[in-house]
This record gives sequence, structure tokens and C-alpha cells, in this order.
Amino acid sequence: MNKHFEDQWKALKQVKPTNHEKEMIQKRILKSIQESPTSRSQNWSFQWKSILATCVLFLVLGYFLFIFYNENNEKQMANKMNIENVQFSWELENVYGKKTENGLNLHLIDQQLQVGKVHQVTKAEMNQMVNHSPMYVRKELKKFPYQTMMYIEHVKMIDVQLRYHFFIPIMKGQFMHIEFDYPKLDHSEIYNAIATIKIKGMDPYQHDETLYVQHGYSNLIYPVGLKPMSISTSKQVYRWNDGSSLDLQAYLRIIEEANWNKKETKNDSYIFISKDGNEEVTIKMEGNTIIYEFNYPNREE
Amino acid sequence: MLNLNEEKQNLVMKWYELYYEEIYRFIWFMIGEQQACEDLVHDTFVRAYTAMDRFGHQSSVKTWLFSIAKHIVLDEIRKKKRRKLLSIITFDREVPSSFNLEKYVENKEHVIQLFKAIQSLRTNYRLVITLKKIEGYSTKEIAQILNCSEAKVRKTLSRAMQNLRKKLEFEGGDYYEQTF
Repeated sequence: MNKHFEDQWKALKQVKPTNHEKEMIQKRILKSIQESPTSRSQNWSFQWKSILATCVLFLVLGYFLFIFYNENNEKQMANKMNIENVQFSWELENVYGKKTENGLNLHLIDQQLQVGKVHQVTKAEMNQMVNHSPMYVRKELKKFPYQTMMYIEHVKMIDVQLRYHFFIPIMKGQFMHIEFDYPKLDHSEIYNAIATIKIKGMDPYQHDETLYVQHGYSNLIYPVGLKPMSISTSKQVYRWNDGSSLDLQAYLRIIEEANWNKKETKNDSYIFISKDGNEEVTIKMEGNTIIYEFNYPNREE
Repeated sequence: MLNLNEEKQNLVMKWYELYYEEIYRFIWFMIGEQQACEDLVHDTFVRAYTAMDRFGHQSSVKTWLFSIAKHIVLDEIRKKKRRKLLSIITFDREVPSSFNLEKYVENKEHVIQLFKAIQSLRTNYRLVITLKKIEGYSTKEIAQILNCSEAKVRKTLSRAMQNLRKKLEFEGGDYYEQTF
């Protein structure tokens, strides 16, 4: 029986085209081959076209790589920048510097928007600037990496409300002048830059505890190291990566010491009222997120 | 003196003389339609001509031609499936009426039944059975043609034979149970 089955396989192996079919197919193959576009010269031109196409492709890719490299370079510049002979860096990831005749213009990486500038000034130039601009705040920033004078200029422009000026002495009679525009950058971002600045050849002061600042004209004190998540007039949300519950308690004590009265504590929310009673702030920490909600009890609607 | 294209042309025609029967049979078993089979045999050798420069001689010419034929056949099967889906006309298995096996095999009822059973198998089973049982390729050669491991060929072949046996049992009763 098995032999019978093997016979069936053998029978199937006999299947083959007739001679007529074979010849017909052969003629068709020959015709197709002769008509095919793969003649030597055509092949040569095809190869040239391929090479040309490859070159064009490389050029296009090269162009994009160049742009990508340039942008990346600019992004890297956010960490390492130069003005004249001074090299510096800071932890302000979304800002890069574009060289100008006098120093650097600072731009937001994604939007190209200019948010400030850095250049070197003499003491006379610094005084000229400070004395001839409407500086509403003058303060020496203590415990920051370098001896830093801060001025906040009141700017009446559509897109700029305040202009922060920082002056850091870098050599005799010479200052590094850093300008930042608010609200193009948030207060917290501006202070982060100054709190993390490192100037090559100048040892920074390293303060191990949290630094506190006031945002613009605000009476409220904020820790340095916040990253803005959502900011509106009545509510501000920041990420405080370094903030632990102990840091929060220390921060709340600092607020009280700065003449804010603790009104009450509700669950995890801490409510403070300003000394004049006109401003109330609720502070809440959720994980690494710190939320401020403002209320103005005496303000007429 | 022959130019390069003429040399290639002669070589393909020489391959045709040597292997057309096997290629034709393989495609026929896979497709089952005479006209489509002739077209695909033609396509196989034309493609061999155009792809000759890329043939690296890692396998024999015959194996290489079979792997070209396999690609062409699988493309055709995919096209047919799409056409079938579009037309939604018939639910019959693909045993084409144009296929006249008796032209080649005289008075072989059981042979025709076996052929029909092979035709009704799924594509990958049909591939390995045709290559192994009809063309007599070794497992290694089938692995080269199908571009897979020998273990996979053995496994597929075993399943294909089981499947074929079931189909024949269903069609032919005890007779195939004993002979297979």
C-alpha cells in the first residue's frame, strides 16, 4: 500500500509543461529580456542617477544635520557661555546665548524669544545704568555663589513688566551684567540662573541650605529651586524637586518670621495672612509640587 | 564578441533549459492555474535576468531560481486573496477548473485526489510539501529557498503531512489511513 502511495508522488512528479508550452514561455521570456531597460548604457545612466540621487540625499541629510548640530550647540551654550574672556554656566536649560558685539543675547530655545542679555560693564557704566533707570528694588543677594547686586527695573512694555539686573564683580572695576525680563522668564527661573551660576576661574560660594527670595515686588518669600508649572494671578504651581517635608516646615517658619501670620492649618494646607491683612496665601505641598493660592480679603470686586 | 547583456541573456536561457520543468511544476502545484503558472514561470526567469548581478552564489542557481519563484508565487497568492476578498463571490477551495492533471497523469483518480488535497492546504504547508515530496529537495535546501531554519522546515513539513493525511482520510476513508 505504501508503495502505491509512493507511486502517486512519483506520478505527480511527472507533471511538466508540453513542448509547445515550453517554447511559448521561452519566446515570451526572450522577448521580455530583450525589451527590458537593462541595456548596458541605460544601466550606466541608471547608476549615475542613483549616485546623483544619493548625493542629493546626503546633501539634504547633511543640511539637516548641520541645523541639528547648530541648534544643539546653541542648546549646549545654555550651559556654557562666553562673554569676552569670561566663561560661565548656569542651570537654565531652556535658554541659550547668541553672541553679539557686546556680549550675549539670551533666547528661549523653543521660541527664539529674547529674554535677556549678558555683557561686561565697567563700574561707571553700572552706575550710569542704575542711576538712570527706574530701579524699584535694590538688594544684595547674600549666600548666592558670588557677591551679587540685584536691581529690579520697572519696565512699561507690553511683554516686559520687570527687568532684573544682576551685577557680579569679575575683575577690578569690571562687572558681569546679567539682565532677565519678567514675565518672559518666571521669577523662579531667573533666581535659579543666578543661584547656580559658575564663572570659570572664580570659586563659587556653596550654600548648603535653601536660599529664599522675594518674587518681584511680592512680600511673600519663596525658596530658590522652584520650577514653574502653571502660573496665574490667583494660583501658582511649582515643582520643588529638592523640597522635603522638613524643607517645607523650615520654609513655613521663614514665612512667619517675615511678618506673615499663620491663620490656620487645614489638612496639608497652610494659610498665612499678610501683616496688613490684605493678602492671604494658602500653601500646599503635594509630593514635589508646591501650590500657592492667593486671596485678597479686603479687595473690592 | 558578446556584450554583457547578451551573455546574461544566454545564461538565463540556459538556466531555463535546465530548470524550466521543475520551476513550472513547483509553480503549478502552488497556484494550480495553467495560465497563471505560465505567467509566473515567465516572471521568474525575467526576474532572474534583472537580478543576476545581485546573485551572490551562496546557493546553487537552481535553489536561487526556486527562491525567486517562491517570492513571485507568494505575491500572486496574496493578490489572489485580495481579489477574492474584493469579489466575495465564491467560497470554494481553490482547485481551478482549468487544471487538467489527467493530461499529464493517465487515469489516476487517487493521484488527482492527492493533488487536490495538496492544493487545499495552507500556503506554507503547500510550499514545503511541494519542495520536499514533488521536487525532492533536502531540508537544508528547502531552508535556503524559504530563508528559514532547517528545524522550522522539519516542523512545518511534519504538520503539513499530518494535515494532508487528515484531508485524505476525510476524502478517501480507510484507504488513505493505511497508505499514508
